[in-house]
Amino acid sequence: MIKLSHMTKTYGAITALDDLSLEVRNGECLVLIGPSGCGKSTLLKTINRLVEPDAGEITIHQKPIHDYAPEVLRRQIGYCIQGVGLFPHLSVSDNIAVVPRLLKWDEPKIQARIDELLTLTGLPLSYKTKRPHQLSGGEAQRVGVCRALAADPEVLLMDEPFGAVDPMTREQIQLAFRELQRRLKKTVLFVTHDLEEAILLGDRIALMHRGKILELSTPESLGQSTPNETVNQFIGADYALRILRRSTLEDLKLTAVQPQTEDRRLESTSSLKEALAVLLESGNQRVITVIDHQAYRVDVGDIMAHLQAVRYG
Amino acid sequence: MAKYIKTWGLTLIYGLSLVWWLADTSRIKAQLVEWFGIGSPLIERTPLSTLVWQHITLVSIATLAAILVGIGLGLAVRLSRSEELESLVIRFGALGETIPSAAVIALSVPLLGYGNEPILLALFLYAILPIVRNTLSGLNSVAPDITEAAKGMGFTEIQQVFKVEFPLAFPTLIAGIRTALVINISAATLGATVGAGGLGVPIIAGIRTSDPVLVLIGSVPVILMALVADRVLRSITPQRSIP
Ligand SMILES: Nc1ncnc2c1ncn2[C@@H]1O[C@H](COP(=O)(O)OP(=O)(O)OP(=O)(O)O)[C@@H](O)[C@H]1O
Ligand SMILES: [Mg+2]
Repeated sequence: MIKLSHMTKTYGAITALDDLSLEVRNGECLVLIGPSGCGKSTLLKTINRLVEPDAGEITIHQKPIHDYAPEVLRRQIGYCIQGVGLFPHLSVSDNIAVVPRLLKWDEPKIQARIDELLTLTGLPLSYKTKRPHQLSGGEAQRVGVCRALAADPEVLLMDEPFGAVDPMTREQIQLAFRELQRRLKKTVLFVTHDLEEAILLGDRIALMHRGKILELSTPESLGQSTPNETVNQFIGADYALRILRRSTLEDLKLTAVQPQTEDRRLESTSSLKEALAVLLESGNQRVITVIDHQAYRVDVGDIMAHLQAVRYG
Repeated sequence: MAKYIKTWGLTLIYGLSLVWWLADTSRIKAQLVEWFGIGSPLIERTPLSTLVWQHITLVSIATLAAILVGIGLGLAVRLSRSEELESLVIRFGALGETIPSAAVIALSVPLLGYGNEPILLALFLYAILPIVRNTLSGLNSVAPDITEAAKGMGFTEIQQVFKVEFPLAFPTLIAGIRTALVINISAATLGATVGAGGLGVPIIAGIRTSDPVLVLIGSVPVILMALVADRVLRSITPQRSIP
């Protein structure tokens, strides 16, 4: 658990952090979202002591971070920097191996780890000898993620790790990361200013504005607690559509039916957003999905009921 | 491939020209005397190849010492993390370069006496300045996101300088060494005015006796050596596109 209490940081007249308190629970991915310049990176960097706050305290697993030497602390925390920051003079594998080498792992273990991470992030093993300038933006960011994960840290700080990727690749990496996080259960503080990304990846979302947390809640109930003009503006009127992406047909309560040949079939792993789109253009055609050899009818009403339950229920 | 041919081809041509100049000095000299119509075709006491060797030794000792001291100084200034010290060193360096080398040589004679020492000191001092300056500017030019990544990964200050900043500064550093070496190869000829060996000997003797052939005999190897040094150092500079 990362606990930040009453953090304040000013740069001259700018207040980057304004008496901010926040808890990241063990094993959760907390997404920090907010407009440019609201202090997200500053907040992240106070945790690995790249920024010293003017006031406030941070503990990780109840231990104040100042109990560690900065280098020792940083080697235990995975860090994806905004703008990747791969070392241009090192190959992909040497970039990934940086922290394990600082921690003096033995070489066979490091090599095995590099292979494992490249596979995990969907990069070919032949990339090991490439230099950062030979990678595309998306590949470089994936190597950045590998580097952050390399020493298997419990805590991960990720500052817009997928910022420089085209929308197609971005979605692939996001889904891969979500899979990864479901398996590894790291304690992640994830910065983005992309609401879609926050909804897809966050167990909870913290909405940040001018150095303060305006709201902290699950993606489903964001904007539900107290009416707030800034929050509403930020999440937009189509928020309900956006959170549909978090659930799949398997999450719905559906009615079993006999399948017919003229039915339109959907994968049970389709997101509700995809399902809704299909329903909207299906006309009179029936839409079904098959879960465990049983066919179910999918209806707009089922999606509405689900949304009601998770968002307003 | 074309790049290799260009680099090494030119180096080879310069090198072979130098060998030819040394091996065939007496014939070349006789020919030059014929063309110019002045000068003496006699051979000097010291063969040209010995002078070249002396020249290389002088330049190597001075430049090597300057590389070691210059890089050390640059790293020390960087590790001090003091911007005042850094700008002081850079400004002092720029000032130092404006002192004419002839003055350094003349002033060091009373201290070091006639011979090789004054020119060694002058060459050392001149080489050290571009090397320190380039070491520092190379270290400083490392992009902020790279240094932040280095810190964030958990490098100590010293590890950050040696494992990240120094390797990235290397191309700039080599450029500094190249400048220093090329300047030193030609500046070393001044040593002959205070009794040092090297290719300055025939050049200075030629100037004293108004003998252009003698001046040419000494100058051509200097030019060729400078060209070879320039080519070789350019080719070993890591070519890396740094975003
Ligand atoms: N080293 C610094 N010196 C002065 N001001 C700074 C410094 N670092 C950040 N700031 C200021 O603090 C504020 C918060 O910066 P921060 O980098 O945390 O924003 P951010 O939320 O990460 O923005 P973005 O989404 O654009 O990355 C900004 O107004 C920025 O200009
Ligand atoms: Mg930022």
